[in-house]
Amino acid sequence: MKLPKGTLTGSMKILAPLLIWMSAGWFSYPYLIGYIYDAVGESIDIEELRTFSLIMTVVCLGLGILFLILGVKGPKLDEDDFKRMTGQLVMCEHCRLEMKKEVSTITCEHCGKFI
Amino acid sequence: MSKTNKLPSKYIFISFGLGMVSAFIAIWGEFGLMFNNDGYGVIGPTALGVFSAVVIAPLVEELAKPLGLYIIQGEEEPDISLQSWVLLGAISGLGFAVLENLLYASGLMGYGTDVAFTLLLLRSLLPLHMIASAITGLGFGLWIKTRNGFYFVICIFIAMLIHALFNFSAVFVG
Repeated sequence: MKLPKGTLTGSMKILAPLLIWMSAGWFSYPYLIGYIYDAVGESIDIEELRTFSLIMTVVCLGLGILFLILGVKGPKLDEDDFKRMTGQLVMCEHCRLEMKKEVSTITCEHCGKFI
Repeated sequence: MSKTNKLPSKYIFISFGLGMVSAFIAIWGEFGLMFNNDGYGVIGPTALGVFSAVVIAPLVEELAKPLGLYIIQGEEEPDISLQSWVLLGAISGLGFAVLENLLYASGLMGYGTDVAFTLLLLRSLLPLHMIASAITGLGFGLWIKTRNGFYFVICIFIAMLIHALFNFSAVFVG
């Protein structure tokens, strides 16, 4: 089943700030985890961690910015498209106007003709 | 354009609250499956810890987190937008993360409040649960809108995969 245009646009608007938030977390990760490991008396390869966290920072920031652009500039979703897909919304073949399809729907609520 | 109802604030509270409750359910589930899962992400990898972090935790937690969404749909069947379902998913993840972060931080109180607070700060800066649950919320919303459960299965699988990769990196890199 093909999804309506703009299905993911709204999701990207929500995911974008979360990914940018995540990039801040990855950026601070080696500093904070280093502090914790020192405090609990464990050792850790901070240089390897720094490289990994830098990669993750760039990936999350890049994805966050991309999602932000797609979320703002992308096509807007018409929620009625889902109702059309599932047959909950039907179009009258006489007046071409749409209505909600109920079990008892036999006439168009707009023009009164049989559908 | 569509006329879907505005997202009522009670759904936000339900999602957040049940997100917190689901953290307890997930902990019980993980204990039930693994008997012991302490220490991953803080102490170095062990075979049991790795399996728990990379396989069991994503599986159990991603299924438990959208508890609020299941209940909202089951009880009220609201006509809300797809974006609202994604937002409710993210809020469920926030509720889950708040409780989990506090539990993890309290586990380090023995090393001092500064260490516990640093772990709380570190975990709060990584909104993995919100991202994963937002994706699950998208799948749930698509399931409701299209009446096709396949979208939910796909999205929850993606959420589990992201969670597993995150835990894998946390275990092996630091």
